[in-house]
Amino acid sequence: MFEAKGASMKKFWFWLSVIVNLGFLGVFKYYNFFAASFADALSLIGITVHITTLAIILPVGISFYTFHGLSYVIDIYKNRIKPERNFIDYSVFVSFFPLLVAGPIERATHLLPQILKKREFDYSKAVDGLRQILWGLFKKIVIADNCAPFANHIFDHSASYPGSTHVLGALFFTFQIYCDFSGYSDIAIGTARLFGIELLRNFAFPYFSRDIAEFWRRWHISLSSWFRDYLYIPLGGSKGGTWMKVRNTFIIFIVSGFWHGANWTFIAWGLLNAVYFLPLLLLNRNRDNLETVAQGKLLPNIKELFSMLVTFGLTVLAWIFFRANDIGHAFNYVKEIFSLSLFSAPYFKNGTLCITTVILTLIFIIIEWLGREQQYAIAQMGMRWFKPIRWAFYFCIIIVILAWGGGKQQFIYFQF
Amino acid sequence: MKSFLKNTILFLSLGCFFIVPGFYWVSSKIITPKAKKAVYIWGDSQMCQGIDISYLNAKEKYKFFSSAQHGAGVYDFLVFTELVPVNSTVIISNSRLVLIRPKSRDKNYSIINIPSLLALLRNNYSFRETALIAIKNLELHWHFYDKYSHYTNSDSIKKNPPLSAFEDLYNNKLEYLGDKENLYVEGLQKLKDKNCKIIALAFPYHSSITEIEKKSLLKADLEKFDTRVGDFFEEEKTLLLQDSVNIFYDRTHLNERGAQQVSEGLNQLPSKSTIINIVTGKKL
Repeated sequence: MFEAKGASMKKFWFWLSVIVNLGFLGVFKYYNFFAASFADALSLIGITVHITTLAIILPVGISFYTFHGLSYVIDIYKNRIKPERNFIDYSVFVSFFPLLVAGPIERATHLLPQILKKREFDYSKAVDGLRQILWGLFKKIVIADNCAPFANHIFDHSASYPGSTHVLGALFFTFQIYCDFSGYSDIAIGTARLFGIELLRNFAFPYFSRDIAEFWRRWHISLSSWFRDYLYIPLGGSKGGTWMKVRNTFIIFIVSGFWHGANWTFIAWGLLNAVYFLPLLLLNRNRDNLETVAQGKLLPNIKELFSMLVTFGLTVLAWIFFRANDIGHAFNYVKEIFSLSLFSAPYFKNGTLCITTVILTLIFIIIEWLGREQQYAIAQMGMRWFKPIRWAFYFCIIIVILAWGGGKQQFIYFQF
Repeated sequence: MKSFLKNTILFLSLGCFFIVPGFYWVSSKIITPKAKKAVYIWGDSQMCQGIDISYLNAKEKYKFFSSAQHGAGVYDFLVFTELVPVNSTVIISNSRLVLIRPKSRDKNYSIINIPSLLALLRNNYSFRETALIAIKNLELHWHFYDKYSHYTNSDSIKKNPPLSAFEDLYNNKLEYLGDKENLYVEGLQKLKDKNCKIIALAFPYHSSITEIEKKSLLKADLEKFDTRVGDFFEEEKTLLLQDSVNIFYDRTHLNERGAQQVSEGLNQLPSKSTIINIVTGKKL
């Protein structure tokens, strides 16, 4: 493509590469969904078709490395980088193990130069990497894996519980998915840092956002920015008229939902976020909150607190669609929340066992709040402390991981 | 690089040899309940189902704390012997299944206890087996409880698991049997060293299992083991259960009625270390 003579040949190779990349994704991840949806649509008009679906296992992390590879192709097409001629260097870029299965989705412009550069051991980077791995393990093993059984139980038996329990289930899932995914990202980024490689930041304390636009600047940053750079901006971004803004916003959020999986629940989740985001965009308020909340202060003011709570509430509502077994389940779940049973006391099987999880989650929220101006919560925590006290803090985290770690749970984002 | 390695080794050494073991040592002290006239119970499912803790605690004479659990293994027993205070009264299960069940099916879920893990290594548990048990025990949980829900009463006994499962166990030469026996005896010795009064309950089995044991390849080994265990006790008693109505849940476990009778039989605890053979009035 890089050496193709003429724009049309260059375009040909570019589209061939895009189609091959997306083709793998289409076959492995979306074929069954489209085939089944097509059959369902035909059955609505009275035509019955028997479509063969594929009984194949979805390769782990396929969405991640497909997008990873696509960024390389697009950047070469756009002349942002030159193609890598050393096969080993290119292979390292595509299959760098910390980010292979669940990101962050790297850009060739960011990662390749680091791979090509001679790296030397850096004490402070290595220690920082280990610290970030430790915090990632805490998030995953202590918070996500402890929240998971409660979230799973409530979602799987939602019909037996009142609205108040549904709220609890949604909250458990909200913390589970954040700690599961950002925990993995921390482990991946920390591991890469040990090798002297800086990966893109993937999370920036999204639950402290004051509006949905800010949330999307802080949640799964490598994917959001990928869509922004390779889809939203090429589509015209927010430069055009109102109609174009609306269209592009819906496209990007629906594609983002669809990226997560071939299921109407993910599409509904994307749509809902588009609905949340659109008013901010149309009123030009989507870049109101670019700085970290309550910067330099210990506590937020009333307005900030209120904005954070509203944004958090909207996010929790959207996660219900993400987690539900199907779209009907999601609507029933939400319906129960907005019923009178919301005001009854929440209960669920083995509910008293969740007290430890709730306490640990509260401690986690406090630590995240205190460290919200850093790259990750404990990046600078204790740096000015006497070394034995700082080490004691790390030992405390290790002990909590060992003693209160939840049962083994698969990383949620491995399925994507 | 040098200082990174130095600090990493120092950090890991401190963690592995002092901080983490220290944490579990302190935790084990905290999770072991203390009370005046406390009685500590250990056993497997036979003990869980065969004794009514709530009934015993209602008597107010003693305070009973149980760490019995389904599938308990020898590691659990060793940990129990480490946790109980000196001069305690303990009630333990003298269960065949704890010994003959394959190592991999033992629950071994108590708390990290270094002397007990070392005892496993000394008794031919591989490093991998010991490490797996250690990992399983990292999670901290309340180890002792003072109430338990029992198997419900019924007029007939459940036939599961099938007899063939017991035949498979009894009719094979079990390589691990000697190791488990040694570990059990090591635990008894620990209790004796702590000057504990030991009451061992031998719960009844269905006659079909007793028959299998009589003809089994393990018979001689198990009899020899009974003699070794007997040395730790000063007397042997029999507790007869009335079985005009069914008191069994299945071939190895009592139901609520059975548990109630055993508990009534423990109203008066023996004054010295005793084996209590629990037998039924008629052949099952």
